[in-house]
Amino acid sequence: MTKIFRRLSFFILILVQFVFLFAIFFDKTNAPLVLLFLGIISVLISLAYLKSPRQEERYFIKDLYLILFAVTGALSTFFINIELKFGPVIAAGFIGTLASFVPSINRKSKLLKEAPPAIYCGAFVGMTSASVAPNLKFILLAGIIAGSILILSKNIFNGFGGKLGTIAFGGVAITSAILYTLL
Amino acid sequence: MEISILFFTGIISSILTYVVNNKYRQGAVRASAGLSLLVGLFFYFFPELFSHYLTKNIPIVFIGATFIGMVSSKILPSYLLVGFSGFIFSIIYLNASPFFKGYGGALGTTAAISVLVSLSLAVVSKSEKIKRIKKYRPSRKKK
Repeated sequence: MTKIFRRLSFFILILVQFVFLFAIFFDKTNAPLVLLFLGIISVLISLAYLKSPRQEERYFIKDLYLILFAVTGALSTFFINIELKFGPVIAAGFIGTLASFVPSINRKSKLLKEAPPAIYCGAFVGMTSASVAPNLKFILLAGIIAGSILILSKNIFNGFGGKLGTIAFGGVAITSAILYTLL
Repeated sequence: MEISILFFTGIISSILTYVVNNKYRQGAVRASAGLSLLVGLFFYFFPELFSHYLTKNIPIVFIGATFIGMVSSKILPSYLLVGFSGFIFSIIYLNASPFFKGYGGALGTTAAISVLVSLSLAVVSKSEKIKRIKKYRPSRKKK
C-alpha cells in the first residue's frame, strides 16, 4: 500500500512539473534557444528523479490533519491576498512566518511539528490570483486536493526546495481542470 | 539592466534563505516566509523606489527563489549549486508560459525544477564515468 501511494504521488509530482515545462515549450516554439534550454533541463531533471531519495513510512489516519492545516493556510492567505489587497507575496510570507512559530506552542507535540510545511503549502494555494480563483470555494477545493497530495507524497522529495510549491500547483491545476470540465 | 537585477535577486534570495535555513537552523518555512515577508513589506511601503517593473517583479522572484533555499543541506550541500538554481529559476521565470499566470504554486514548481537541475549536476559530477574521464585525461597528457 505504501508503495502504491508513493508511486502515485511520484507520478503526480513528475506530471505536474512536465506539464509546466510543456506549457513553456508550446509557448516558445519559435525561440530555439529556449527550446534547447528546456531540452537540457528536461534530461537533467529526469536524471535527478532516478537518484532522488525515498523513505518507507506508513500512512496514518492522523495524517488527515494535514489537510485541515493546508486548507486553513490556503483560505487565510487568499483572504489577505485578495480581500485585504496586500498581494500574494506579503500574504504568503505573513502566514508562513506565523506558521513557523506554531510548533513552539507545544514542543512535544508531533502533530504541531508537521503543521508549518502543511500551512505553507496551503499558503501557496492561496497565492492564486483572483482571475484564476473566482471565489473561496475554489480555494477550499484546491486546498483539500493539495493537502491530500501532501499526505500521499510524504515519503518522497523530503527536504527538496519546491516540493510544497509543486503540490500546491497540482492542487490548483487539478481544481481548475475539474471546474473547467464541469462548467 | 532590469533583467539582470532580477537574475541577481534570484541568486541572492536563494542563497540567503539557504543560509538562514541551514546555518542558522531556523527551519525551511520560517527562512522562506520571513525573508519574503520582509521583502514584500519593503516594496509595499516604498513602491516608488524602483521602476514599476522591478517593484512588481522583485518580490515575486524573491519569494520564488526562497523556495530553492528551503532545500536541506543534506540534499544540496554547496552554495554554488544553490546560487546556480537561483539563476536557472530566473531564466524559467522570465520565460514562463502565460497560460499558468496567476496559478498558486507555479513559482514553487519552477523552484522544484531548478533544484532538480542542480541536483542532477551534483550527481553527474560524482558519477563514476565522469571520474574515469577526469582521471584519464592527465595520463594521456603524460604520453
